[in-house]
Amino acid sequence: MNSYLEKIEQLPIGNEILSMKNITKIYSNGFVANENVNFSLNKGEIHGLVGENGAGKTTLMKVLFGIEEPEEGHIELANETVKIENPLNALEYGVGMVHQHFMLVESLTVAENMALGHEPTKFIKFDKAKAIENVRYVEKKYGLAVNPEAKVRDLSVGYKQRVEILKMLLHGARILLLDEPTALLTPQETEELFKQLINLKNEGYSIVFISHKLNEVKAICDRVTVLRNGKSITTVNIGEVNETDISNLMVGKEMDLNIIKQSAKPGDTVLKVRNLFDYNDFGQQVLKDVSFDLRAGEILGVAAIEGNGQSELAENLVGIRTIKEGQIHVKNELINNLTIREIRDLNVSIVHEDRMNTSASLNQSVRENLISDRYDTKEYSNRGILDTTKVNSLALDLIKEYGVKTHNEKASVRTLSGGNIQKVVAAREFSSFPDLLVVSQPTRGIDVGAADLIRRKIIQLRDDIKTAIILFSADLTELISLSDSLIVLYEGELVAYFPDSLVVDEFILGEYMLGIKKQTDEERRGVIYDV
Amino acid sequence: MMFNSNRVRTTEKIENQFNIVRTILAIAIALGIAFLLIMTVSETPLADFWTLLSGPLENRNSMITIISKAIPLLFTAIAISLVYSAGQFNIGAEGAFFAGSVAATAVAILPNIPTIIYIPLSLLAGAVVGAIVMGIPAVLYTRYNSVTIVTSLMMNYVALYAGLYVILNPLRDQAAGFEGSYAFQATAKLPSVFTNRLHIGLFIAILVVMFAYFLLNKTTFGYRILAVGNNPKFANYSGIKVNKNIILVTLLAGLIAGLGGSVEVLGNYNRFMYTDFTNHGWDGMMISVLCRNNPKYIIVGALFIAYLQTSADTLNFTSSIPPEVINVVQAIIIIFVAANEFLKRWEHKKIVENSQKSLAIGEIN
Amino acid sequence: MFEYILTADFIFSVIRLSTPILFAAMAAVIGAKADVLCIAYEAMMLLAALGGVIGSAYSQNLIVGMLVGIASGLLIAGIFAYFVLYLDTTPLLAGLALNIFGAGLTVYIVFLLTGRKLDTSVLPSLKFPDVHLPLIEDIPFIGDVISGHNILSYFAILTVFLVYYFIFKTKLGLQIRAAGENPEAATSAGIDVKRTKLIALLISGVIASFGGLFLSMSQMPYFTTNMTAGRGFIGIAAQNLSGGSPIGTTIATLVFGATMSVGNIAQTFRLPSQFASMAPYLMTIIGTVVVGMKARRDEKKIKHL
Repeated sequence: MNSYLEKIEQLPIGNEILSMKNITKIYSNGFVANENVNFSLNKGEIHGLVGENGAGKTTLMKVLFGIEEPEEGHIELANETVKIENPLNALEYGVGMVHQHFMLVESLTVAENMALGHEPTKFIKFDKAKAIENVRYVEKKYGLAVNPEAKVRDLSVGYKQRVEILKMLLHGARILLLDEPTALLTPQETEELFKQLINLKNEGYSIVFISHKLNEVKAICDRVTVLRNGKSITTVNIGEVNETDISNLMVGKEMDLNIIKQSAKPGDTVLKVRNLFDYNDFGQQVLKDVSFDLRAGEILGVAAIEGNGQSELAENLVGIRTIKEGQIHVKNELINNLTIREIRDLNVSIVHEDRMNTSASLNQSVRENLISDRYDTKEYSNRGILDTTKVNSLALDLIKEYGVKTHNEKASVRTLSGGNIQKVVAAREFSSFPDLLVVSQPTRGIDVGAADLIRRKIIQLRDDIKTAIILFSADLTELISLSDSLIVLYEGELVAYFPDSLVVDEFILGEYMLGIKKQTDEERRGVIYDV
Repeated sequence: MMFNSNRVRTTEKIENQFNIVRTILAIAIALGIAFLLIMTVSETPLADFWTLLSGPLENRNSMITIISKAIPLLFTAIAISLVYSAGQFNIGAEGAFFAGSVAATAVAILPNIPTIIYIPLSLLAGAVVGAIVMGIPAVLYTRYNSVTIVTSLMMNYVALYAGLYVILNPLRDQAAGFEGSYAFQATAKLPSVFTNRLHIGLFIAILVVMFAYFLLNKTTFGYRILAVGNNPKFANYSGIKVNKNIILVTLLAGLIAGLGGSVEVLGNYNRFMYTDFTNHGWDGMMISVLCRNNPKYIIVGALFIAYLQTSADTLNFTSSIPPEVINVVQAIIIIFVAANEFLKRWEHKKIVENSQKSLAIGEIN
Repeated sequence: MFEYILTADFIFSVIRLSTPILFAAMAAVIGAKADVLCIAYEAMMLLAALGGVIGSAYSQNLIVGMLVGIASGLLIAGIFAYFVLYLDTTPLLAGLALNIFGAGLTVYIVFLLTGRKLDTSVLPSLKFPDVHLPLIEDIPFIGDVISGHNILSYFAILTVFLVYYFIFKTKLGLQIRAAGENPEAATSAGIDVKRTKLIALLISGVIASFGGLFLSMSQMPYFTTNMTAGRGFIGIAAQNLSGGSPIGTTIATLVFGATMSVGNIAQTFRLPSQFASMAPYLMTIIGTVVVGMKARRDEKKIKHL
């Protein structure tokens, strides 16, 4: 073990220190997360790793850090093949990871957290003085100021991150993997972080910087590797590309989805969003002054990288999140203070992005999942008593219409495949002939057949029932081909409106999604029809 | 992924089989240890063990005792199964039962109440007080996020001591010579049915079980409760008011537990004589767990526990072996049935083997 | 009656009555730091009380008796830990089952040994000695309060400091706190969370056992069936009320002990004893409301940043 660390120490800066070769990782549900991915890291560089959600970057890092085991491929450290079995093992090889969710115990001090697992002791007593000394030692060595005696729960996010980084360094990491490190930081904290990273780089540390934020990648990385759909696309020097180039590499076009639809014939405005603001639990702004209209018989697609406000927007529209600032009208009725039930009663249907935990109740039967939006209506119940005959026949009808593969409507939803679970959700939410449909990630992680069916049903709703549909999807191809018009969210702000999706392609969309471009106010106001 | 309905069907069958195996094994281990205990005090261990197993079957009297003992258990078990169905770990049935019996006593000793409303009024009083005892923890949970297990556990003791105070002070019959309340008015007591050892509480209990089953499976309220218990996020997303329904179902459970206390005391006794917890609440919780919170099986479960209690009594009668041996049996059964990982590895192996077998045969759907 | 509360006698009895509760409460503190909801302290105390009596009666050796008692309590703790940590049993049910098990088994054993189900007074079990502190015992008032307690009472107070030191100053205590508060973080630091919780529960078991030993081997040198009478739960209540800090728990315990003492003499003053008995439980419920209200206020503060 120490021989590796010595070798790494002696390796000259600029040489290859880490190489991941032909990594293939397939999850147990058949999803191919990484396919023949190659990734190399030089000593003393900051190497950006970019790609959309689902592109495979987190999986690749999990493999490197020992959390996942690849089906194929191997890892070389300082030109010797190594097998990394678990995170502690990774640390022994000098690889340390700073996750998005900090691995810190809130009620303990900085020194105690950093000592965890390698506690200095005097007999049974925890040697607090030595632990503090250790912290001060690394503090000085790396120029990252922390207060060893501060309790973690009193620290800001940026501070906590510094502690996490120091923790890795204290335990001997020479290679640092940072997963979306600036996601929760203020601009000032980001600047601080960058200074520290450059210091480390100059000391000979090697850093992998995983991020969506292309401006940051451009600012601090030496090289960048782009992943797309589980494959490594290319590795380039940062000086040779600009953000648009990177964006184009990230969002390359995939196969045709064969979606045939006529042009929309939009009717009256069904949904009016005005000046919507929202904050998360940390007090950070997640939606900034969002305003748009949605009309009957039209599909409006919302394009955004995950974490830019679309989840919050979807939940604001249906009452799952309370509206903090701004107004939302559904069919001219203000919904700001309405409950989810009251909003649903306005003939609104919801397909939530979290299929497994929210849209569906896994422990209950298919039948029970199918009636959750109408079990107490006059049609299916009488004075509080369920009409089991009607319920059963509805269940059987919907199972047939949507081709849900289950041996019995009483079967637990847990036994269904992902695609069939989504079909159950779609069957329920679409069959109420909604006036407004808020649908998020309708085909994420499901088989082609089910995805196809659901998309066709969405178009059917638009044409036959004149449903107003707002579609949130991370699959840009699906988003562009299914939607009639598009808006783009970046950092909670509506930065673009495209009235005709036919003239938009992924590359253009990508530039707005990544914050490289922003439309003028006038262009964006186009999405407001009712003044 | 290929969908295989046969494979899924047999996986469910395997899971059911293993649940049965686990329960039987738990009972076997418990009885085994009971046998060991009996061996230490008895000179005729086999005969005594046999009495433990089959004593109650030997005469009609014992069968009646079993039914009589099962009645209060039905109330508390149903109460617990209702709150568990909503995902609440409210263990206040013991306190609700006790407080209910005190409240019923308070009404039943009043003179000059017209006969027809006497019984309903007493039972109602007990039910309402029971609802309050179980309901308070639910309210505290929804408003202040208090941990329901802790508050309901505490409420049991509050109800116990408050109830004891009431019985031993304002309601105490000084002339009685022991610690008890005034006698119940004759018209307040529950009339007997079949034999003078059973009372109409039996019918009330059966109605309660049927009502609970009907409520959970056939009504819109029941639908809401099950949704909340299975997945509160899903329930919320579906427009169900989670907190309101938690409180409602807990109040209902408390009503039932309190009703059980009233029924038990007005059906079997002439005056209130409890000096401590009756343990019917804890027993009810065990039955509910054993029967996986399903009202359908609770009648069997209650009879089973009542059977154990009766055989312990029979054993004690014939051989002076302490009936506490049955508590040991009960506890062992409970802990093994509740141990989810017990035999899990074996079960998992069987499920995987089954999957591989069906893939090998080439079952495609 | 109020004059009585200010007498040395009263404070003395508060310390005496608080002793077994204090042991149970300290055990609960450790269990809570490890984030395991254990209600089986009642069973641990009961079995330890009986084990100590049996061990000392048959060996006529106090130390042997003590060890047997501790082993008995530890057995319950071990069974609980095994079922909860390794067999995925809901702690509530495991605790409930063990309490019923303990109650039933102890009655059975008493019957086995004495032929009756009342107590073990026929057995020649030993008792822990009372300690009269020289010099201090002569100080007026303070001497009467502090000196003359059973050695286990002094040990209980020592246990508070030991538990405090253990949790906040030792390496194992640190690991227990990490494992209880954020098992993910602990695991990523290489700590075996299950094993750590197991050790915490076993230590809890030892401490709770002393509570049982005090009941059956101090003032009354014999075991009475069901003699714990809910003290295990009062200990849990004390821990809950104070949010798990050893000092706060001790204060809560003393308050509960005081109410018990008041309850004992209440009858002579024609006050219902039940209110005293009810007090610890009622206070805990009110405590959760207070904590909940404070949390809501704090949350509102954050949202307005």
